[in-house]
Amino acid sequence: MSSEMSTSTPPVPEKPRNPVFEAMGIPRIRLPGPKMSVFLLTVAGIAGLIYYDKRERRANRQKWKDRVSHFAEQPLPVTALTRKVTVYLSPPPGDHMEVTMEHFTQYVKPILTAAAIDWELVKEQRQGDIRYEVAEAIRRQRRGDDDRTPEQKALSSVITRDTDGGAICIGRGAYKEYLHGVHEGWLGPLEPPASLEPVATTPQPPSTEPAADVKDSFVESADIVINEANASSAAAESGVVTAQTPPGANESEKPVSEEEQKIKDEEQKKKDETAKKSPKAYISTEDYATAPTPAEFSKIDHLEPIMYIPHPHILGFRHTPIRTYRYFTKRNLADKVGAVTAAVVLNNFRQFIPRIDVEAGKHEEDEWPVKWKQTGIEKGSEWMQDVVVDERVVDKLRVYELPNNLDDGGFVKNDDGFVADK
Amino acid sequence: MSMFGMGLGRPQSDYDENKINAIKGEMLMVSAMKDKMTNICYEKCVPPHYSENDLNKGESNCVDRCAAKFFETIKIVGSELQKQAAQQ
Repeated sequence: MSSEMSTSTPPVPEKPRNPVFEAMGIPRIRLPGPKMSVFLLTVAGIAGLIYYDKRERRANRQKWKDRVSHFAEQPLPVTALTRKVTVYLSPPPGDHMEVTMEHFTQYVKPILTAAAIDWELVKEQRQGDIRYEVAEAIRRQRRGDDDRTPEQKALSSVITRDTDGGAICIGRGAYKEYLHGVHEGWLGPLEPPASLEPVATTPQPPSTEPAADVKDSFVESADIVINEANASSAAAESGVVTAQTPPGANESEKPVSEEEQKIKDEEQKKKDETAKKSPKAYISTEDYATAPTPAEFSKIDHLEPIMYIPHPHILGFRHTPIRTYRYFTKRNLADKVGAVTAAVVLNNFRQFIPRIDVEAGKHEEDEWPVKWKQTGIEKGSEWMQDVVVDERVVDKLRVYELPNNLDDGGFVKNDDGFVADK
Repeated sequence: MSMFGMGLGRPQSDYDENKINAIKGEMLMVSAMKDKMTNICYEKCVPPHYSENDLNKGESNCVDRCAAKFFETIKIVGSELQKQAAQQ
């Protein structure tokens, strides 16, 4: 197209140039050609979209920071500590922890910092670890364990911390695990049930080499003919070894040490496997309804309020359009996440409503990789199970929510800071 | 300086000069570290304009985190240096 245009337009006679410029080697200034124009416009357009999004994102973030910054301006006695929330992070399915971390640092952390709220990160790589951590903390509370050092105890009598806690779960998976963890901690037994011990240690690969080896070494003494089907390379090897070892006291010693070694190897393997897997739940989701109410449960008025922070994350080449759209509209995400974080900061909560709150972030599950979900269902993944809640726990659960009147500027300043104007 | 019974004017055989010097050096190092941390965290967290004589929530939270980060960094750097020294 451009070649046609260049041939169709008659050559413009060049104007005489200033000889000074010519002597300095400065080229003649021309308008960019059609190809160059297209290129420049595309680059400028994309850059403009990115710049605009970034600017708006920053503005949205600033908006929520300003809404909560009055908390940071309150005076704090030297012997007091600010409120601390716990943030639960887990990597999104099929991706790395850094993704969640970035989501947190980009959208959640600035607002917490602006409001002078301290936070504790609970980063867990494996599924089920958040549930275990949450449940274990509750069990410790129920048992009355106190693993603080004497120094810490002495300090805590002097230094007081703001007791309004709060739990922030980033993403649907962490939220699910948190809910199950609370149930497990309160409704489950204090000590791991006996049925769990063998379950936790027995999962081993279906008859792998070490097991076969042990069997082979027993074969010698039992004098059983090795099964032809089992006569793999390992069996053949052990046969060779027995043929070479001279008869006598030495023989009885060596197999034992080998056996021991093998058993040790096996134990090590089991240990590695259990270390790879997160600890199993002390109580299954089906047993929530029938579990007895622990005595300590009636003593507490409420459980820690929770907030689910949306973490939209989609993978895969097929979803490039969605991902592109999201890339250019991060400002909306900043606004949304900023709002829910501000709800945590403002400490405004309501009762947990199972109909709504169990389903919070359910749409995220549709975006999880299909293959990942399949293997998750096959392996009985916790993230693929439905959230089960029990009435007793739900009664004491609370969820953060942004006050309704916040958006109409329903906040006035008085001497104590900002209060909701009713 | 009457630390560890020094300056009593009595020669004591069970005091090791080297040890005491080492302790002195360590004390200097620790106090220098504290000074440095105070300066860094003050500059980072406390705004230059004077508003009130107490730290507010935001500032004290910042100081808290700053100090924690400072010690964490020192720990990491120290262990790295030790590793390097062990390799040589």
